Amino acid sequence: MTTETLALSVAHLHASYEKHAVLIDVNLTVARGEWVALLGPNASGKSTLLHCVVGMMAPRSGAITICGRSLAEDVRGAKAKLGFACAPERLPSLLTGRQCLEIYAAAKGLTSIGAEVLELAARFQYMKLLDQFVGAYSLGTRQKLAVLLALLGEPELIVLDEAFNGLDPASSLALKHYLRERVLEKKCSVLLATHALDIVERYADRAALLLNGRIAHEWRKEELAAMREKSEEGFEAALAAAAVEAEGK
Amino acid sequence: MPRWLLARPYLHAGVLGWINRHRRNRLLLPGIIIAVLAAGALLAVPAAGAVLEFLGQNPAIPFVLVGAGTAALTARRKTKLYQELSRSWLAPLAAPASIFERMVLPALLQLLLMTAAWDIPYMAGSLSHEGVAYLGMAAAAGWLAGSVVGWFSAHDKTVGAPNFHYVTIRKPRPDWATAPRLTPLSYWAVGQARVSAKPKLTAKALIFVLLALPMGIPGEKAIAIAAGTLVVWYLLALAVSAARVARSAAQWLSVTTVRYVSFTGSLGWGVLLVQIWTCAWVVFFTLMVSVPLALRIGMATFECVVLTCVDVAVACWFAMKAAGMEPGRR
Repeated sequence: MTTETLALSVAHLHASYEKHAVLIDVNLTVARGEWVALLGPNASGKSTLLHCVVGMMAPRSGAITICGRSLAEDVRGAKAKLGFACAPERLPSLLTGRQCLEIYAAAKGLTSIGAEVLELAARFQYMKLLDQFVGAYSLGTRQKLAVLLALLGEPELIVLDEAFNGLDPASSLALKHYLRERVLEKKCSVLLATHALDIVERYADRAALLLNGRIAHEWRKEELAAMREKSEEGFEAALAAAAVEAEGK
Repeated sequence: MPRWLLARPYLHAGVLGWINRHRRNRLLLPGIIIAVLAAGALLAVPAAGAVLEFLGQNPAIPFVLVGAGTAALTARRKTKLYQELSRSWLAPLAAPASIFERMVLPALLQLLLMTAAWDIPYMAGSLSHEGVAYLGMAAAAGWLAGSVVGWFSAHDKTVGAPNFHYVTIRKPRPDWATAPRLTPLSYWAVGQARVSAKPKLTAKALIFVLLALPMGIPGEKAIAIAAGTLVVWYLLALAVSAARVARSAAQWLSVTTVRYVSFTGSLGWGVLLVQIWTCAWVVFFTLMVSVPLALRIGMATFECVVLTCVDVAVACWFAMKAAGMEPGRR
């Protein structure tokens, strides 16, 4: 695959917190119109990888390219293609949800907030909370706002870090369907760090297991589908086996 | 909202935040205006003019105070802004971070307030022309030097999590799991004090102290003053950290039934122990120079330890009360 057909390319990425290496020679690609799930135990480096991808953390070495634009050489160009759902606790408590959406839309140079995003907000049952302060929101409501912010401006690459945490089942399903539709229409690609294996089984095109800062295993779409069909325990057993194998190495 | 503000999300969010603060609390803006007017009226009192006249005659004092304060504020502001580049909800946006505007605007506001502080007594006639000139020059020089030192002392790296420290406990208590105690509360306070008193930070403050020393002062005296400053800084950092940690710890433990005595004792003992240990070394070293001086310093350090006891007790009481923990319950 060339960089033109890739929504995201991560090559030989190393990242560390002071002397503590968190990512070691990570290579990952996300094709256009592809949903990739990033799996791994706690503290395996998933969030760090996502923060490097969205430019919130500078890696020690390696290259990140988003829709053909290098994050190191053309930060603005690369970030313009991105949508990232930040951690809910980082949203400003002194602003209202509507103000947050307004700021994001203005900063992205949008003339209006897309009808699809507003429709999703309505399906989230979020519209009635728009004029309340973020500080008064529950975790789930903050999560909804973080996701809506990520989807503003029809980004070509949507990066989500545990974005389904705290969402009620109806909103979670609405978001999965929304992302699936957009991915199928090749309007965007999704990179999702998650522990929810049902999403990996049913929605992801590909899955990667990050273990101790390295990509330990990858599953293609056909493998995921086969596991879904064959095994009773489905992906859960395969993930556990891959983790044990990687630890053994 | 003007178009240029819309294109600068950090400033846009800041402005909306202030507007919302006012909307939530309609007394805030009138309160600030009244406070500013009251401060202005206070500055017009002859006593304030006399104090400023004294500072004008001793320009080293305003230079050090303004310089150290500005350096601390500038460094803190810069660190915060650069941390936001990797932590803010606006960080993933392809929009300007407006570092320059967000650094310069508060600095100019500080300069404006400082100028007003000596212009008001000057206009009220309680500060002489020479006094205002010397004070203005010393404070402006301190502000300039502090801004430069503060800017270059703070790091501008967004690599890694800010204030990221891997701490290894060298010797964990063997029965920590079978007989848990509240003692780590004091390690928290001591650890926080060490962060506030790390050499990287104190060395910059020392620059201003050394600059304020009169010409021709003997070397050993200069070293003693510098060392004394470091000790005072550390003792103060311990006292302040204890109060800060009391607040955080009380909020964290508000769902537990911890009692005031054990909470205060657990938090305070480590802080006091470190203070006593530090003071003992100071007295020991002074003893080698002069016994009367060591006695005087010994008394001062004793007072410092007593004050810290009171500080911890009061801070824990109010922290527990604020967290709804009934500190008076037996």
